[in-house]
Amino acid sequence: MKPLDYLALAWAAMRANPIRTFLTMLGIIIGVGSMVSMAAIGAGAQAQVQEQIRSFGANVLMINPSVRNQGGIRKAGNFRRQLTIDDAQEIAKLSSIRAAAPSVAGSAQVVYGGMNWATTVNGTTRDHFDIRGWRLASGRVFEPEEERGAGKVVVLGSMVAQKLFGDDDPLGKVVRILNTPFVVIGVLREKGFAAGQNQDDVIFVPLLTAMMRLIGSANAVNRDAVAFILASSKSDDSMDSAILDIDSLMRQRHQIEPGDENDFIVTTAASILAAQEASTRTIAILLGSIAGVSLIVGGISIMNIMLVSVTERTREIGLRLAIGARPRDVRKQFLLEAVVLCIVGGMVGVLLGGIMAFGVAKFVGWRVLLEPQVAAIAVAFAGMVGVFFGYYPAKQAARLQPVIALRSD
Amino acid sequence: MLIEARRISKSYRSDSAAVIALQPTSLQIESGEFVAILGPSGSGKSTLMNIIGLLDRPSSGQFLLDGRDCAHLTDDQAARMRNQLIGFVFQAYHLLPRQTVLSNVELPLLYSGVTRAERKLRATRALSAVKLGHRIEHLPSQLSGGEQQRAAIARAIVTKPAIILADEPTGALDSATGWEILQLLIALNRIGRTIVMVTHDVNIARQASRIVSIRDGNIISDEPVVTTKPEAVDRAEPCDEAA
Repeated sequence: MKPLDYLALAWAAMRANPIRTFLTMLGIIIGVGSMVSMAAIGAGAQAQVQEQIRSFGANVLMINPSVRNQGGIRKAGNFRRQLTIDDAQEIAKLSSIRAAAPSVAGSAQVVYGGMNWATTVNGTTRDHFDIRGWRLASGRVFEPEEERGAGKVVVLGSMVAQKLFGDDDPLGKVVRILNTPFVVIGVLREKGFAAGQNQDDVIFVPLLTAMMRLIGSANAVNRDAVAFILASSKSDDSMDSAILDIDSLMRQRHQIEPGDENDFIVTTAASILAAQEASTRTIAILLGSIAGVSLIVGGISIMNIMLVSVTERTREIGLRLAIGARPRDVRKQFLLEAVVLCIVGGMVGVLLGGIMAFGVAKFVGWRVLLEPQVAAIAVAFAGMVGVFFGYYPAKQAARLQPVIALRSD
Repeated sequence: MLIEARRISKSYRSDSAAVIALQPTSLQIESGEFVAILGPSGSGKSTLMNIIGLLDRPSSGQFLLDGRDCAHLTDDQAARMRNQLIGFVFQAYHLLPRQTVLSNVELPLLYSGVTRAERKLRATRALSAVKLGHRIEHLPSQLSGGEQQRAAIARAIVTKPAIILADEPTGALDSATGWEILQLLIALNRIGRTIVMVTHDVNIARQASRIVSIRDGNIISDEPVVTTKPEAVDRAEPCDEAA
């Protein structure tokens, strides 16, 4: 018998009872479906992390205040120690640090003529652009006098410039932010999306301007408080020492006792990666165990149905043996039937997994990436499940004695 | 000698005691014979038939098929001999219900490594030989009992075997249809097929050229049929078999 003959037999057997065939395959479908969607979500998350790292910058550090825990209990909110402009200035002086920019952020409506646009206002220093490697498309960044004097100047992200001015040149024009007039001094280059956000939907004003005229400081009591400090190390190699330097400096400035937790967090591309990997891993383990369990359950149900099928088709087996089928022909026939069942189930599962992954992309907003080789591996894996769970029933079929098999009614 | 049994016996172990299905029996069948094995149910005739068809093995004694000692055949070798040398016709037809008549007839060729086109050609020829050429795409359930048995005979002759083993081939049919099937077997015998037919009906057995009577596991008589029925031969349709 040729392989194609076995395939035709398996196909005929599957078509004989479509509902039973579908129910038999369901476990495999679900198993492969979760396997494929898991891989798609995992690959999507990885691509997203890589993109975030790229947009964050390899040697950028972000320092945020954090709530201190003691023995697992969060301390009261006002105990939170704010970061200040002084902190940023001290960090900038560290030998491993090239620059540090204290920042506040808020949202505001920007108006130009009849156009208006709600966007994010960032109050920061001119070092911010340098740290993030963000170049200007036109104009200039803040002058030191404008920073010191809380000058009413603004640098627009490319999207805001586009929304307010269209194709006109915004430089030198006056926009109103929260009813205060600001002069546009620069427009940034396009930076694109990161973490699902358009980074170009932003405007920058000098830090003091933001704190005094627009957003206020990050803390009602401490007028020097900033929301976060952005810094960059001198080189990629000095990242580790930069983290350690910031750590010891801030502990000293915030008078944290040895053994106590930090009241700030230093975020780097590497730490984003680690955090993302941890959450991706949780999802992967979850979906992976669903996939594993359903594949095993699916395999068992296939084994079960194949055993039933062998019993039901005892006379067919007896007849085949009588007219010259070798036991191994019968074994191959039933084994291939299980394998075909699993592979067809696997292919339906890939379809289901793809739909699930794109459902997740659409409704949860995660990035997904379905790679063709993953689909191929999943189907091949389903086939292996078929071999594993189909072997025993096939062996039982091949072991039948033709005389007894033909006698059964 | 095509079929030769030397003191073969068969016993089964049941829970309490050994059941003897066949006492030591010797039997020789030449190529081209039409032998009826006659006996009531439980007489051991089916056991003898199964041993001849290599579906079962004797508990003792020696069994030779086409001069070959079958004691040491592996399962695969036995399967090959069944495929090449023997065509089976059963009382219950044993056609696969979900496959067309044509693919049922092709089945033995599937296991002898014949190409798809050749299979179809030979199965179609065998079906025309049994006058079923017009129903090849039907399912067995769409056929009458006589037609199903003719399809089964087509399946038995499609590999051009030397021996046709028919186990109560007319048992499930009315007498007219059974008669037709019998004529088909006679015609096959006339073109050289050796036929061994198991039956409990003495009138059916008389159509053979030799009757081996069996009772309680023993052969009680073995003699040629003297009264030939000329009209039976005349009514036999010329069987232009695939060969």
